[in-house]
Amino acid sequence: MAHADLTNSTSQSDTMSRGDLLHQAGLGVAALTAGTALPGLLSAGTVRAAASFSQGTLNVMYWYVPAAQEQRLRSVFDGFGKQHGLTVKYSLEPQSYPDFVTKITAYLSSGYSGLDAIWQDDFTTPAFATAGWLEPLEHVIPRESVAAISPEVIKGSTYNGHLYRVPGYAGAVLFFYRKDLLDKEGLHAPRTWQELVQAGKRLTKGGRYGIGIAGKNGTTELFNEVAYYIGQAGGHPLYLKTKAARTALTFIYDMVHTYKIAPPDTPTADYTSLTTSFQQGRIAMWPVWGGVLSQFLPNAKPQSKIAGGGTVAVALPPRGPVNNTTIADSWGWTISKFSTNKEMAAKFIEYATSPHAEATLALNGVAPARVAVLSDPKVQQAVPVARYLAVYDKLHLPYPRPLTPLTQRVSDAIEASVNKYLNNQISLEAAINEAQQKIDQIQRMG
Amino acid sequence: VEITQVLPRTHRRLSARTLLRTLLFYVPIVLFLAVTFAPVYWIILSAFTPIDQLFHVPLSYIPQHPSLINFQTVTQVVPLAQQFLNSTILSVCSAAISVVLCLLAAYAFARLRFPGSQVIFLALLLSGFLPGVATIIPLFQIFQRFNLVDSLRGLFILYVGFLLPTSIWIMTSFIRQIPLELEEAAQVDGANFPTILWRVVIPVLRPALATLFLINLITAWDEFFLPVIFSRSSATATLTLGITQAAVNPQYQSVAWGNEAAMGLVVIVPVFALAMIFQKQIVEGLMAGALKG
Repeated sequence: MAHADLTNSTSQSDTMSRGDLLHQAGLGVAALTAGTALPGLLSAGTVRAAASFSQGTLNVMYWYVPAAQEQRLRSVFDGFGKQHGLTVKYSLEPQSYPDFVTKITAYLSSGYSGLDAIWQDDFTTPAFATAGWLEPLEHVIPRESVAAISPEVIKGSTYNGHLYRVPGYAGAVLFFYRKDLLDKEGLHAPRTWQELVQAGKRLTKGGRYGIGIAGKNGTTELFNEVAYYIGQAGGHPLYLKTKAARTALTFIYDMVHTYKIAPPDTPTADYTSLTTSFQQGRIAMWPVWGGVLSQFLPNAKPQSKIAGGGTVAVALPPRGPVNNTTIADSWGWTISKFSTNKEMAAKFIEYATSPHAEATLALNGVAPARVAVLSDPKVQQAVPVARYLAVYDKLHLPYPRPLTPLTQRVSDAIEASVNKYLNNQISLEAAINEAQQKIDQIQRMG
Repeated sequence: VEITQVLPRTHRRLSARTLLRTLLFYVPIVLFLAVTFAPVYWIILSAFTPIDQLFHVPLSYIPQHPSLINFQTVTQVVPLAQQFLNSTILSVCSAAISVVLCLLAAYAFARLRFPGSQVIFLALLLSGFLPGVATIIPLFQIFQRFNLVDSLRGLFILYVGFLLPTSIWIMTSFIRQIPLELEEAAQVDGANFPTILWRVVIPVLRPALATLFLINLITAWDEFFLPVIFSRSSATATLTLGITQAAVNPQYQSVAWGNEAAMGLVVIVPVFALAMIFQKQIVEGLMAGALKG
């Protein structure tokens, strides 16, 4: 009914009200303008900052740091600013990794010139370098600055023969164990896979398990586990149809299903749940990134509580069939191809990765990339894992995770298949074939 | 004797049937409520439980030692006041302006016949269904050109732009349900367009406008993806960004669930309170749209 009425009187309504409607639309635009101006007025500082691009401002993007730590970060950025008479504007990177990737991808794929230096991880660097969004740095960063960093960490920043990133943070998977629990059983830290199994069997009792494995699919954590064990078997995670990969994957499976030294819920375990299990003594050993458990080390300040007042220690990785290497990760500075201030950005990177800056940022808990800074007693006091990282570095144990433009996809492919294998859904051969087929496809795309 | 023997049996049969019917009615409701409220309860539980007790085995469904430690941590980690102010400004301004604009646009679509009106209406509607990620790069390029990245005014324009298509669609259907005779009677009395709009249309639409304002306010308050991309500093960060800032530290690669839950509550409580206070108006507004015709 209403529709019929409308049709009958359309022309009258139309001719009489269109002018008024346009007038009203004008008022609407005015209201929109007012609405736009209101938040702008309330954030005048932001507007000024936006207008100051390319006017003595260097735009850098870095991890979000809590307010308590921001002062130290500012001191590094402002220190550089004072030296060169400019302002360093610090933008926040999202905390969650997928959001970080989405944001940086949106910025760089848009050719955004409002970003000069970007703090990036080892996964995104080759991807963005391949896309042509990053500036090669080997000719703008002094050789001695690069030489001060572990060659393996530099390897993780180099792609297709070009250095695209100067690391300012370097970490590695360290072999953590609950010293109190091992002491109670009269055990020392295992030195080989065999000793790991033996110790695990002794430690597995009363709801406690010998070792933790992050077996959850889709988190990159299972990929790290696979890369860690395959490395010790002498293989490479991009090549699964090898004896080394079969040995490593079988070993992971056996720790869960045959030796039963890893919890049965391993296929759903992640870093967060395993951290709590380790803290509560429900797992006794766990090779994981240094940062994850550093809060429990005896020299951590403030130290997080360990159930029953137990103690945490770090040992060298138990040796696999071939070696006792471990995987390394790193974050560092890159320069956007679209930066209008590349020269200054390079100077900034040199400053932000200097020993002084790294020692300052270490107070925020950032493990330095420079080998010499890792041995600084003040740094070791501030970053509990620094002294272990220094020892690992000295023994050349850490090596970078695979560098491909699509490492995240490789990780997803491996995790999906290995998780099914750990869940007894498919056999080892099926898992290897499935994952390798996907890896090959991804590599061809890359 | 026969009667006394039969009656109890029928009664028993009826009782069983009634019981079965009652069970069939209530069991899905209870299950639905459990599924709906379990995550909310879990957030509350996690917010008031210190992280070292959160994953304690066996799980405790009632906080053994309730604590505000997660809230304290959140206030140290996240610039709450700034983010609260930003979220309030953005959601209130964008909800208000989107309602004003959608009213005018919807009136035009509902009452005026102009060439291509149906196509424009359809295009507008379809633009609302575009996935955000598909539009983000061109939008970013435009905003970069106009220096609108990392500014509240930029976010405001984005919020209004994303709220408008659906709002116009809803409002058009509301306006189409207003009897045209009301406006014609006003015209006969000599009222011009602004008077008709102000004195006739808006009073009839008031419940719908209030409802739409609240829905848009809540949508803008909960928006996460746009600030993730277009906000670069604390000065423009919203509370939804604060949830992730409270939860994750990239160096530690583990999630601080307690902090995340506490920050989640900080975000939920104001909109929950608003929804509770204006519950009657929201339902009335929605029912008005459903019943008129």
